[in-house]
Amino acid sequence: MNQQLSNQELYSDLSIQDFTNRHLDRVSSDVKSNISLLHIIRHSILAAKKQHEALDFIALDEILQSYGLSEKSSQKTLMALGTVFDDLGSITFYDLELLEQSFISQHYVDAFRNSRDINE
Amino acid sequence: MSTVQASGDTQFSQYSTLSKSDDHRQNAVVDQNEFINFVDDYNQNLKNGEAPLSEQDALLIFEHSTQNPTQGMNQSDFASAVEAIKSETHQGQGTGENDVYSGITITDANGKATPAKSLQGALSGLKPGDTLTLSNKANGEYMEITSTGNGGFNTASYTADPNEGGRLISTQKGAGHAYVGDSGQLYLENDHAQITLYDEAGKPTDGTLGDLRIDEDTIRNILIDQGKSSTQADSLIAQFNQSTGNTTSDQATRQDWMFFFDSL
Repeated sequence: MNQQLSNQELYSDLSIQDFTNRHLDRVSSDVKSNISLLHIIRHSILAAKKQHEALDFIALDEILQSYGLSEKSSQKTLMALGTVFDDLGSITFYDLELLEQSFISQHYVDAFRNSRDINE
Repeated sequence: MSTVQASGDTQFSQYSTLSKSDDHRQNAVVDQNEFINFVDDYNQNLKNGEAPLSEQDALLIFEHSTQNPTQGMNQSDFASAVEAIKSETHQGQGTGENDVYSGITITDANGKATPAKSLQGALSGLKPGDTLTLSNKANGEYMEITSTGNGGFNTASYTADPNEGGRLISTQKGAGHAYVGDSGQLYLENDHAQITLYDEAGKPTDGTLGDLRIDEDTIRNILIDQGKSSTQADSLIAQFNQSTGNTTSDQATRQDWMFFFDSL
């Protein structure tokens, strides 16, 4: 697996890259782990040169396995994505960048809810 | 927005995009005024070294909460996928993080050192001012990474533990996001980092960046640019892997490749 892709290649939207860089060290290990998974998926899409295409789950499965993931890991990855995206629809590279931003945003929303619960 | 004044539509009107959208107000999973109060409190209770949430960021976070794409997400499914990938890279290739580093230690700002069981765990728990030290099992190199608290890292690489005579190889300042690759190797995404290389006398040099890691695809492209066929390039890379015993040449440095090609 090619792990040497630069940060810039992982982001088509530099504002999302900037947002991640500024907030990643504040989020929980779960969120960091989720973001690592999104990076692996985006690395695999870049390696397949499919970053400009809308990909359905079957195509994504092929891409992940071509990248070196086992069938089992690929299926688990798609199962995770299926809890966020419509598994009969398609996903773009940019959708995965937005999801990364959502994960980080959710950290603050959760903190907000916790603070509200404490105050109540 | 170093601070946001608490409550009230008058104050909230600075969030022009949100204020204009009734849909957002109706669909929001959080109350916008309460959220503004929270941001204000958050910015007034920042931890050491943390930057305040900007108005732009607060707006963006609220926008995400109105769309809430992660509402249906199942954290356990995500965790399960990550574990599956980690597990197979550790078992399949023998290149898990325990094979890459013989020692992982976190030293806090007061000098208290704590061994870490995993690199991912150590990296996740790194606080501003903490220094993470890594001993590379394969080449004995020693690396110190200090979190600067603003999402950045400063690093120093040595030929061995500097307390045991290790020589400074390079430093980086302003490195960005750090993550653990599937191979177990630590990577720093450092597009804007200032990298300084040092010679054997310990003097800064403009250097050849010989210690930078360089991946197979780049080498393959260089060989093809130099007139080798794709098959010849793959054959040379295979020879390199055989000569070094590496299961993956992604860990090789430019210096490693140069020595190899000089020896042909």
